[in-house]
Amino acid sequence: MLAFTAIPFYNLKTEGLAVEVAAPDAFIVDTRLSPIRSELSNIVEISGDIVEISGDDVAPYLYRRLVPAWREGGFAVSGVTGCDALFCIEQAARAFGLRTIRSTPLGTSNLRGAGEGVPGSLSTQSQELELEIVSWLIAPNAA
Amino acid sequence: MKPEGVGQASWEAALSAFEQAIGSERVFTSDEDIALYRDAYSPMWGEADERLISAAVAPTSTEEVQAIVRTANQFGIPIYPISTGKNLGYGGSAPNLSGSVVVDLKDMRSIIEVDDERHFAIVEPGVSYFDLFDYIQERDLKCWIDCPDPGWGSLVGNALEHGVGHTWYTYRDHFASHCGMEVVLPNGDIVRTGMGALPGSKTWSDFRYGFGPDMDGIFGQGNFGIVTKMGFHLMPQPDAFISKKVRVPRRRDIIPLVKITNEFEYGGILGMPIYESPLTQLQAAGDEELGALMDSPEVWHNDSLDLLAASRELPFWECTLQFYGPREGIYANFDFVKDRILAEIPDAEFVDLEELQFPLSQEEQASVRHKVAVGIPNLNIFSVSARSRTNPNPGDGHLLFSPVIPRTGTDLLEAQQIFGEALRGSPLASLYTPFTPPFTWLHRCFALACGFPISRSDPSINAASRDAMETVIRIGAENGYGEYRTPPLFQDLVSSTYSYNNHALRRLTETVKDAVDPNGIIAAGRNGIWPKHLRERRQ
Repeated sequence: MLAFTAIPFYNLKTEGLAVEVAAPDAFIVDTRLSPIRSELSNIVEISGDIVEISGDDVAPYLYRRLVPAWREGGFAVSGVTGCDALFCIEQAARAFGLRTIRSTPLGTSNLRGAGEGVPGSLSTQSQELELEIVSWLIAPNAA
Repeated sequence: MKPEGVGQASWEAALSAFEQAIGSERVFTSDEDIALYRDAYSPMWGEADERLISAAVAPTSTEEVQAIVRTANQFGIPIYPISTGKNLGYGGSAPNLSGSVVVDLKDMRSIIEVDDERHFAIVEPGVSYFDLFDYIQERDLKCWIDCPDPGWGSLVGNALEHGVGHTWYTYRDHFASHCGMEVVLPNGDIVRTGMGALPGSKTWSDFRYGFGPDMDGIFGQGNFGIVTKMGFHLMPQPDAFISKKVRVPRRRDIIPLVKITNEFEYGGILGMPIYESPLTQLQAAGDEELGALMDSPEVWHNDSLDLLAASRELPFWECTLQFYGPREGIYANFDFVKDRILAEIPDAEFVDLEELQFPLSQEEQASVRHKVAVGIPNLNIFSVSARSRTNPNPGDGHLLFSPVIPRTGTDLLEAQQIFGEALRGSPLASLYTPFTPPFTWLHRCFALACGFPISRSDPSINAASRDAMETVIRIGAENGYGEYRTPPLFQDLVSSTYSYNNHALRRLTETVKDAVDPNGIIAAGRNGIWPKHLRERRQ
């Protein structure tokens, strides 16, 4: 379970930079952000075909849904996730001619969890993530 | 951009020929498309010397690859083959020679055969570890992949890079576990190596050597052809897996610990040992007491860190021990290993980690502690690399320095000091410490690897990382530690360190290069091998 301690978001609506999210084919919401979902909804329009996945490992959804869809052509996807999850998705999307059309940082939140690091990785084990949250849209390159 | 030295008319004719051969929809020249091939971890991001391509072509068959190669030869177009382009930290999808045309093999995705009685697979270069894993799972085949972490790369691409994984012994040396190749040579000819050279061979993926010289080696980290098929030996699915963690209190306990784990891994009892130190977390959290101790050059020789660890009730080292096989057998093996460790390190402690019995359901797979240890590809490592209290400055990626050192505790302690002192006073000094753990990806050696940060917004970070990288490459070579793999920007430098007998190895590879690829069209500069007409570019 994640316990959430928030630090203030940069409220894009307040600053007159209301974020419009185009109607994508899927909208990914990172389940690590569940504790702050209502606050995110005040900043970003979360709508459409909403898919909730763990940003810790996007691989199952990426390879079982997105990659096959991208192979068929098209399939824009939007989301509100940690920047780590966006990195994985956008790197995979590149192989199919898609790119990140828009990426808007929304702030940072502290997420404490019982997660362990990956043994033997270059990075130290993490007990507490300071997740950089980003709203984004990945779509095919213009023809 | 067009390739340097290629006239406009030739360039346009080449592009037209590419389109004729593979279809215009598979030839990419727009700025937007080309940008997709930038190396996301480039240490020259946004700078004048960032390696960029001129175009990309994406064939779907060996015959199309042949047509591309013949066109490239005809018009003198430098080409750079990639598989899935996920070689992050080592150059990604960007070439050594700017202006090259990337030959993107991602759509050559056939899994030609998987046999779980003889335990092999034959795949094309666009097949990722995820693809093969799903193929095996869907058919309930009793064999495993061995994959890197992250697992999104290509089996062929990773093996040709001498990439490594995480399961048992030689399976994690991906080039060593390959068996047979099909290669398109620079003249457009096709060769099959090993038993594949015998028409109708029934053992192409069983017996690697075939007859006569084993030519496969020149295609690993080489630029002598484009591999279009490759066989791999696969690990049989074991009955069970257990992992245990051993904790030892002192820095020098690593010496007997490594000796014992080596013996048992090489003897077939133990899987890949994973070394870690809790002191790295203290360091990442900015522990002041630790920082003060680290300021002294005597830290390499005194017991100050042992005392610190003890005061915090932390072990100095931890090692994950992994066992594969019949459940009763691996528990017996663990008991044997444990007794040997305790005989030499009586105050070692052991912790249970995980027990798994195979096959695993999808739900069970999702909850495995260390997925790659049991052949499950994933992308978890990117969340580990995210910003955290213990990782306050994660950067946008990393530049991997991967020196090979002898696999003993004594050599580890010595190498830590050599690299640590080489970087003392630099902003990256914290990367080598008395508690920097070795990596055991290479099953007979340590890789004392580290990742220098790169940034896509701050060139000064990249400059510092490049400087540090050059320093440690040189210092490493002076001390007998060569890199096993390095990003394109440093391949000339690393190649130059392998200088025995006036660079005899490089002279040999250049002789082969000039014979096999006289026009120098394939992957110019890769791992320091330049074609004759570009040799003066060597840095």
